[in-house]
Amino acid sequence: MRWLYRSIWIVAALGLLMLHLLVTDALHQQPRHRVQDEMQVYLPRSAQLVSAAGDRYLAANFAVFRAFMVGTHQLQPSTYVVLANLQRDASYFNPGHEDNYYVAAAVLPWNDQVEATQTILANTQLGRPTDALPAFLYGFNQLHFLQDPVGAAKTLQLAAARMPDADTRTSLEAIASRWVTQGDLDEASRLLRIMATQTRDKAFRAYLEKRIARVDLLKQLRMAVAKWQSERGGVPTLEAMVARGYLAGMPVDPLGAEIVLDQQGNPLAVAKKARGGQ
Amino acid sequence: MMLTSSHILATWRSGVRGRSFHAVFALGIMLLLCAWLAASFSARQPQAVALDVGLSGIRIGLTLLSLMWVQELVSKEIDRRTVFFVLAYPAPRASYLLGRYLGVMALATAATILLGVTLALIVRLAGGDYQQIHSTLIGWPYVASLAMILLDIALVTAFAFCLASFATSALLPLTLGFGFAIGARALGPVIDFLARGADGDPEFAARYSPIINMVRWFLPDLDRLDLRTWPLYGVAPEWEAVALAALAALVYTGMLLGIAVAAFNRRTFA
Repeated sequence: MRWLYRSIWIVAALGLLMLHLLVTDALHQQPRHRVQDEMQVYLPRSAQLVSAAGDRYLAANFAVFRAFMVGTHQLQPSTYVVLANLQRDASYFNPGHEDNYYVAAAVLPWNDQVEATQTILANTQLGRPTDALPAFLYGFNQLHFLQDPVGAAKTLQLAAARMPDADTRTSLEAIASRWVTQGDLDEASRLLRIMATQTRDKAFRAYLEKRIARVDLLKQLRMAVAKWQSERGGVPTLEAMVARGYLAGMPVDPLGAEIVLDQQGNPLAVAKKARGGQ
Repeated sequence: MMLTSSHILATWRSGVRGRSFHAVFALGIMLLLCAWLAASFSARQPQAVALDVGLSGIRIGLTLLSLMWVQELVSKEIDRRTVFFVLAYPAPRASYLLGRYLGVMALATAATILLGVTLALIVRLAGGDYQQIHSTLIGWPYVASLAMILLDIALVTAFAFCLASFATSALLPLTLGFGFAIGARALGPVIDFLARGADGDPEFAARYSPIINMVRWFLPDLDRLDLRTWPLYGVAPEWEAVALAALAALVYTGMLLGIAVAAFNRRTFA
């Protein structure tokens, strides 16, 4: 009788072990539903403040950490709206936050969030009165995104007057005069290169390098279109330019967007789901 | 005077012998970890982020610690009736209450120094080899920021003492004290938000501005005592505003302690 009980126990234990192995293996084969890591939730500013125990600097840090955790891959347009709101709030909580304005300037205006970026940079100029970069970035956005070289130069001249050292003042005034005369893509490429060398975050640097590659690509396309127009006249298509040897091949955007020519022949990078960005 | 100093000493000893200093140590380790981890989130200013998060940690941590000390060294003494032995001496009740308050503040000062030194070390080490372009100022600007945090804690502690002087529950000073600290620290950003036009919503600003204007007479603006933009970004505060904020905090603390003494003197212990 005892022998029978012991046998039943051993069979039951072996059965459970087998079942465990089978279930574990079957579970491992099942597809894993990924949690959507893009930012979709935006808390009102008062809730952000309370969740940081009333400490506005901590609230700013929480917002910037969230912005960092979103990643640098191609995001949904709605995510950029949330990101812009969050970073704008951070600039109100702590106008001096360096990472906030830096990341905002590198990501947001390139994704249809120019107005929010300008608000962030305007706040930052108040919070960091001796830092020339926020004014420079604000002016750059006026030049590149808002097509306002005169306004951009004025911003730099006003910022130059506030700078404590003569070297920075002279540099800003030199850039202001260059902006009135030179193309925006040259400046965009130069700015992105500076930003990429100054960051310590590898993923962020890689993202900026892709942006540089896109700007360089758009610059080359612009030159090729200008050459076509001087030699043949009219507005070409990308396919025609490849066929006639003006381009080595169809342009591929490093950030995954689609490269198109608008009706005037200006090259643009268009997001695949929503139109925006350059 | 003598009695007050003996109460300060007794509070200090109780605090040091109790678990509170273990809590300070644990808080220090947590602070170290949080500030260190926060620095790794930064693309350009790891030292500034470590300092920023660390100062927030010190501010919140010290608030919790001082409220726990009030709960442990005053509210629970009343709860357990051990306060009767002290009050049986022919001495004013105020000497007990003020002695306890100054004792808690001595503990808070020691904790501030300990956490402040720890944080300064973390900031030096944060970011590894990366040298951020705008360096943080770990000197007098940092000391001034810590001193103002201590003043903030002194006010919140006085509020908790005020509650403890008449509360029948030992939990009330801890919970309401923390709520008071959150409200008082958030008041400044809320006033600022409304003054800027509530993000272009004049209706919202018009509706809430009168309420906030009323609240600011009762709730102190502790955000004014936060000077961290000075050590973080080298933006020195406006000294007139700082002096006024410090004076306002001292006056408010004095009023709270006055109410606490009056309530404690009138309190009937069953």
